Amino acid sequence: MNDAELESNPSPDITAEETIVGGQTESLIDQQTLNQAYGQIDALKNNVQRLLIGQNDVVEQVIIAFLAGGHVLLEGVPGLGKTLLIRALAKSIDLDYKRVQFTPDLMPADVTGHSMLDMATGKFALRKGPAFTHLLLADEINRAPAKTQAALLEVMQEYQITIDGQSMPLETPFMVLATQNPIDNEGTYPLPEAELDRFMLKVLVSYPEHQDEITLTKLNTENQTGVVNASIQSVLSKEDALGLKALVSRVLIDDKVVDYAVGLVRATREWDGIVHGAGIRASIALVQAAKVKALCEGQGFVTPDHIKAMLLPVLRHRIILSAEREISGSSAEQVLSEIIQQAASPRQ
Amino acid sequence: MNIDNLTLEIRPRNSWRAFDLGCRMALRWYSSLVSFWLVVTLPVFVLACAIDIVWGVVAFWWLKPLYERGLLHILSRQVFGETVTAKDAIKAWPKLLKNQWFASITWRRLSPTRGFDLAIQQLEGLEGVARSRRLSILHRTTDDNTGWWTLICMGWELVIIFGLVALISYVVPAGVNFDYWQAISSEAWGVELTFNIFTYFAYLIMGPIYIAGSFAAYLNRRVILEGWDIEIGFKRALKKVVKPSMGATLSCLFALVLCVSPVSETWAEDDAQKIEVPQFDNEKTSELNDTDPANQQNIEFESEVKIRAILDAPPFNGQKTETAYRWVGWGSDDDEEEEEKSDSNLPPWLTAALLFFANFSEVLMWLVFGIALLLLVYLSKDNIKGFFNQASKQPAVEELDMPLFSQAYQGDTLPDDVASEIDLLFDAQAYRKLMSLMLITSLLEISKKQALPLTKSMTERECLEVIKASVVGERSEFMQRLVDTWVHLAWAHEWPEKPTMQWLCAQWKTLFAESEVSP
Repeated sequence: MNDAELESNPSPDITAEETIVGGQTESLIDQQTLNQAYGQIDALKNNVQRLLIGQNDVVEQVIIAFLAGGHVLLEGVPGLGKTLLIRALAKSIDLDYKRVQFTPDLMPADVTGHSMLDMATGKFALRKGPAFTHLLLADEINRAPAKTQAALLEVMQEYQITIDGQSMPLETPFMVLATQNPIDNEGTYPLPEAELDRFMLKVLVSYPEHQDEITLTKLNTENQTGVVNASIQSVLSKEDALGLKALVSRVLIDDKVVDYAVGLVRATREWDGIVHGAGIRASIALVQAAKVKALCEGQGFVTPDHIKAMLLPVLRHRIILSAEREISGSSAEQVLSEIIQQAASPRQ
Repeated sequence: MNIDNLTLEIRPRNSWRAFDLGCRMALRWYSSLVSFWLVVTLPVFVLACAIDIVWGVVAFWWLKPLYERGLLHILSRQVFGETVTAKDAIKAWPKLLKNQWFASITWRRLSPTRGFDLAIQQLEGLEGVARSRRLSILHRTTDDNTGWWTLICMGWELVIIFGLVALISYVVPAGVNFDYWQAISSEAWGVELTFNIFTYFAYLIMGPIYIAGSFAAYLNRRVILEGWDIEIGFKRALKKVVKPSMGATLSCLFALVLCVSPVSETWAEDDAQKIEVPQFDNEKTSELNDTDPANQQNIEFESEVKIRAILDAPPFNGQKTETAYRWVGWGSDDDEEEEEKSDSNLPPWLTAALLFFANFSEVLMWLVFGIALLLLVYLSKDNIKGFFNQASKQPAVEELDMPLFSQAYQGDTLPDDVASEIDLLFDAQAYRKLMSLMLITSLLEISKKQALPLTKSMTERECLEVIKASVVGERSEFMQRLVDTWVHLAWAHEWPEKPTMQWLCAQWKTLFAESEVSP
């Protein structure tokens, strides 16, 4: 019996655990804080799901991206409640939100804002664009030309807007929810890889189940339009939301799980059938999203299951399939599933 | 058939040009051809559709060779300058049907060269062996594309039919959903009738063209074989250059020159030496002059006997056929004879070198071919095996890949007495190794009774889902708690409580200790 653990102190204190796991210094979140956080996230989730019926996975993934400090690219046909989702989320957390409909003639200044000469004072006055908000819905982002899309790059990555050389930081929390339509692609400008990489998750919004659609229909026909929207109550304050975001960093993740996550991302760069794999941002986003996923489940630690659960939304828009795989009808999800199937799960 | 009356420009063409000429012929006499077709076939088509909307049109199609005879009748006469109207053709059609009608709609119906062969049957009136020999001669060319012509015309018929279906889809209003497959496969009477009308229309368009093309190919083949173009050319040249009187004078002169030519005598002498001509005596010669019918009959009989005798004597006799196998390849007698015959100016050493190189190349090529064949068989061995062995096509059962959960026992053999080992580890508070041992032994025990499709890529929770689907009751509850405790230890770094471990050890002994757990 030459197990090293026999020689170590088996008492259940932190020091002992750190020795066992190879000197990791992460501290666990106490159970009370964990329960409180779980309750808050659950309440937020339920509040949004009350309106966005039948889209539980979408709601959860959007909340994960919000708490992880990322941005979301929503893909789905029109009329699936994408605007309702952001409105419900904003009202549930008592945050400000703006919606911009992207069109081919939309200019960068229409998003970020611009300086305008005030004739009365003879000075330039700053007119802030819709990006100065907490939640920004960029509707049909691929309908705007590349320069307008690029205007969002700084906003999404640096959390600041520069107008006339003056950089202004955005209020926290800040999140961009962009939507795009998978069909009717004529006259659109596909998002460049650099911009796609800025989105933490790509969430696919599909039609709700039959029973959910019945509920949704009844809900909308039994009430006057707008009554449903008005009934959204705030369940989380802005401070609570920021507190949850701060708590995410304290979620414990073992080195082997990090190694597993990074290994999966790196596998996309060498995988047969992928010509362009995911970058370093993908590894960071995957681990961060997994942490929030764990918190959403009321766990103060990340398991390989959380990594697996977040792999598709984090990586599906970050890889480019080879022409052969595209022709054979494979999707990014299928190829990523192959990678998951091939990669050995980490063991302690 | 007088080739002087041909209304076509006669010259040898390749088969495709002949088909092209046929198309032009069809267009030229299209009105009479289509009129005949309509009058003859429309009643048949209507009747067939009335009897059975599906099988009726099949029967109509099957009888097509009979209608085509009328088309050939028109074409074959128009080509030689005779004006044939649709009415004439309709009158003549019943007579045309008598000859070999049964063969045309039975064993010859699906012949790809049916259009070409129809001319031999109908115009030359040949049947049986004579027909076969004639066909053999006419088809004996590398430029015989009559089968392809049938396929092309059939393809065009399909194009017209589906083109008309597509045309309907284009004129259907925007709101109406038009399903091509439904339009073709529908069993509705109206749809079937529409489809039949389209089919009839396609036959109406293509029938005359097909027969005209085939007939043109037949004419072209005869032009090549019998030199019609040369004959016509000579006749025209003679008409243009030589006046009739001059022609007669020249002919006489030519005959005179031939008569006085010494060459003819020489040839005659030569032949006389070679062939033994039977000599008739005077008595027998007088028999030939006998005008009595009875004697004449005897003479004919005797003549026949004499002719046979001549044919039995040299050089006509002694012909016999021998069949034997003989090597004709490299080094054979033929080669040697060829070598002897060859009148080459090359030096012998160069001839030998070239011959050696040729032989060596031949051997090398055969070797390469053999190796390539073997390689192909080797590379296709799995497919060949799969082809002959159906069982091997079934997907192989994937070997179970048991996850170890812990690296503690990776590569180590499990202890013989697991229960004692568990006690020992519990006393030493080596919980990690203890739980690892319990997990592995539990999984091995469960997998003995029920296959667990576990893989290395599965996480602890995924494995638990599979296990819970396989076991129920206390074992399921035990596995749930064991995996939960393990996950908290492994990933949350939470050291398990002693009572928890105590419960797990006790449960393991109750559920698994009775069974033999072996690695």
